[in-house]
Amino acid sequence: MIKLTLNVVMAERNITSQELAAAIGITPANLSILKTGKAKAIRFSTLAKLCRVLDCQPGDILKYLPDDNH
Amino acid sequence: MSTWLKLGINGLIVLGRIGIVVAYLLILFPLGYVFSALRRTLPHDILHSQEFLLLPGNHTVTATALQSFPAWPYVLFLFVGTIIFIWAVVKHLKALIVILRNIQQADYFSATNGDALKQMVIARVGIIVSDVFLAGGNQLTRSWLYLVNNNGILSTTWGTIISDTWLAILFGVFYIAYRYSLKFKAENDLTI
Repeated sequence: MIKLTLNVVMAERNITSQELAAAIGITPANLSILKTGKAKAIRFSTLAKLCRVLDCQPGDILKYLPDDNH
Repeated sequence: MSTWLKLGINGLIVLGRIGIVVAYLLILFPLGYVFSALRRTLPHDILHSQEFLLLPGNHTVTATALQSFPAWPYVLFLFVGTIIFIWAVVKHLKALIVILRNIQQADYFSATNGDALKQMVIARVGIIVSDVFLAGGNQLTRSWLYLVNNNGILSTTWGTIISDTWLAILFGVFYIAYRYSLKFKAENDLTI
């Protein structure tokens, strides 16, 4: 599975969830869905905005974890 | 939502509620036959009833046929068939009212709509089961007395089962399609 490691990068950039959500134009609820791993998919446009605001690469916030049953 | 659409949906909800009341009154249909069977005059009452149509052809109802007419099985078929039909129609209309209310509140994609569609499919299957009983009853009068009931739901024949089966399949297809659309919507909602 693919995991979003937003918390780590957000802490490094010292940005709150409210600020990040406002900066990329999504609701805090949707940002929470991303952070908690409940999202089924992320649009490239959203990923691009995250990388722009957090000044990072997609690989910095996306992590692949093997599924338990493999 | 436009005022006319709201009024239309309200009208349909009211009609649905009236339909539920009328459905419960359908129990009166077979009750008349129950009383005839109790008085042991059922075959004669059927023979002289305005509610029955004579089958085409030259038919003579013999005294033996009248005497051997299975009155209580006939009444049982009608009674059970009517009860199941009433249950199915009430279930169907209640589910329809749930869907109409959700449409009024602009709640188009919801689990309650999916459940309501499922109840409609179950109701349609119930109608098929009731058709078997009612058509069975009609077969008895057809075979013994060469008469076919022409009165509302009691006029159900074997052919009605086929058309109701198609309807049940159609509703089943709607339900499956709606379930998939709910799944897609949930995925879409979780795509940020």
